[in-house]
Amino acid sequence: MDTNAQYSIEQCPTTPNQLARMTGVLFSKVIGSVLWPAVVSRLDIVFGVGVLSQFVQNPGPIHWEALKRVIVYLNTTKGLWLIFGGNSEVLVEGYCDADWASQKHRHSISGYTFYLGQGVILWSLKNQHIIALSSTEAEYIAETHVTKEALWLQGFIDEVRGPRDVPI
Amino acid sequence: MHCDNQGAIALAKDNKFHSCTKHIDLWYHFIREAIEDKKIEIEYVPTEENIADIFTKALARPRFKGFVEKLGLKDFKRI
Repeated sequence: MDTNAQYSIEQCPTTPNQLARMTGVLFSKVIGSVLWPAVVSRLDIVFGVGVLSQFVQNPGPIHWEALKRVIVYLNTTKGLWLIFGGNSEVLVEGYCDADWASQKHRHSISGYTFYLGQGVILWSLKNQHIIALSSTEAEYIAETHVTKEALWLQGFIDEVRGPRDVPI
Repeated sequence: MHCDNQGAIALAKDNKFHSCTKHIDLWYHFIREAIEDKKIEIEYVPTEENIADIFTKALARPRFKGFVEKLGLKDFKRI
């Protein structure tokens, strides 16, 4: 995605003329088909798909162009595979981040990912419910979001390979 | 667990009350409990190395490519 691009609801068509230009554009269908790889293995497009899927109801030309860019990227990098494993000791590690009010609606986005050994096993992107007043607060909310997932993951992994007292 | 904001890490580790953080919803202090019970550990990581960055903003090409590699997305023809 373009690093400087801003996508907001103001860019959605409102006049009949603008709406007519967007008829026949299969925006929701295309979003649906890129959502699948984003959820299953292509975590590099998660941000783009996550932002653009907010405009499914009434997409504007700028959103459509951005979506086409995601598809072009997917086409040029279709050889990328998500590789699991690694030789190091199998530990669970999490990374979390939040952007602070980068979108026009000012809800921060929290994102996280978990590694098992050297392979990524979990990832997520989510708009935060409340509007954070500082970047620290946004990150703090993101941390809480990760903690919830981490506790679940810890329970699951303990069940699979027996309990260990190593914090995530 | 890794995070790239020193302030948020300090808040999570420190159980004291600060008037500046009064407004943060009680619910979000759940992380303090998890750290106290030693269920999770939180560490600082510089923004350049925080892989979760790829999920929260549009990155420029060189950084994006570096993260894609680190995430274990590899071209199967080159393996």
